[in-house]
Amino acid sequence: MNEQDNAWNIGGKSLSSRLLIGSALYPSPEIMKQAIASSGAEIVTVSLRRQSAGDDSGDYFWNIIQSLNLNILPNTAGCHTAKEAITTAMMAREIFKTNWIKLEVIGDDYNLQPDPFELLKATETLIAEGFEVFPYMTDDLVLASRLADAGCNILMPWGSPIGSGKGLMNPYNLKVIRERFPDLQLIVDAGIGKPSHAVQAMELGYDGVLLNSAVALAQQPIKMANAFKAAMIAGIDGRSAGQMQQRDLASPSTPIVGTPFWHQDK
Amino acid sequence: MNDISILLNGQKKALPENQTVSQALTLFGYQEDKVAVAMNGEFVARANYCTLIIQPKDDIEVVSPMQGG
Repeated sequence: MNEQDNAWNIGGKSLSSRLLIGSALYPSPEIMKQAIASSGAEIVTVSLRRQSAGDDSGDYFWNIIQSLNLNILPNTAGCHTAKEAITTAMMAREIFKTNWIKLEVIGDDYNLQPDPFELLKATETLIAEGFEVFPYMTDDLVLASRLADAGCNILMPWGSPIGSGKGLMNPYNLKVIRERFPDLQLIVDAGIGKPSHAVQAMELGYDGVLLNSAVALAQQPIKMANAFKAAMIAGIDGRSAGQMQQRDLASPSTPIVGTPFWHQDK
Repeated sequence: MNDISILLNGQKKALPENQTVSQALTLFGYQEDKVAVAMNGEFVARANYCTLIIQPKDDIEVVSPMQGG
């Protein structure tokens, strides 16, 4: 792999890995640490929770994350309104000392589908407040357009619902968003279940992939993290190498002239 | 000094009146530099902890880092 092929600029930083990885659901903190490190990801997502007075158990987790020395992408998981998401983003900026925010505003608890209206409202406010918004969104072209108009440099359409592992439900929608916004950074966020899904996203021209459950819930998370690292390289190298033209009919790859039983008159 | 009743992370708590956010955090056992605070749904910047006085029935959220996807 040529490192330069993989290099990209995201949120004002130049990174080499196209993988963004979550920090939740791992069997243990130690496996989380090893899996994140093995994935090669340079961006890790984190969240905020209510802290009970005197309970410093979260320190252990946070110390591990800090020891990995990665870029932190806080999320607004659990928010259902723009107001909640804005307040959470402000708290995240103070605690994590970053203006990056993975903006999640959930509109439906059944499939954790983002609420496009509240998402847009929150995005407008947060961009005005100086945030780099990474909006978790459906694969809707018009929403993508409105978010771009609001000033988003990055869009994160879902592949399929969070934690479903179903992969890219609507490759056509994702492809159209890619074609319509060639200058934005596009990341498939959510629904990735296996490395081939990540390869597919990169082959569609996406700039990155954000996942969590696919690694954390694998039977061997560290091994799966390695597999995703390889998948990201396969996807982007495969794309940049240029795919052959598809043909409707078969075409032999072995030269047929002179093969045994070859009949020139056929 | 009279106590006031507030909500802390959704739970009813008693707090002496006229306490700043900073004083309340200390009283409840938090370390200021490890948490972020919202009051009545609005973010409270750390710079305001020493001046903002908590009022009766204020709804305070205190959060810290956790795992996320």
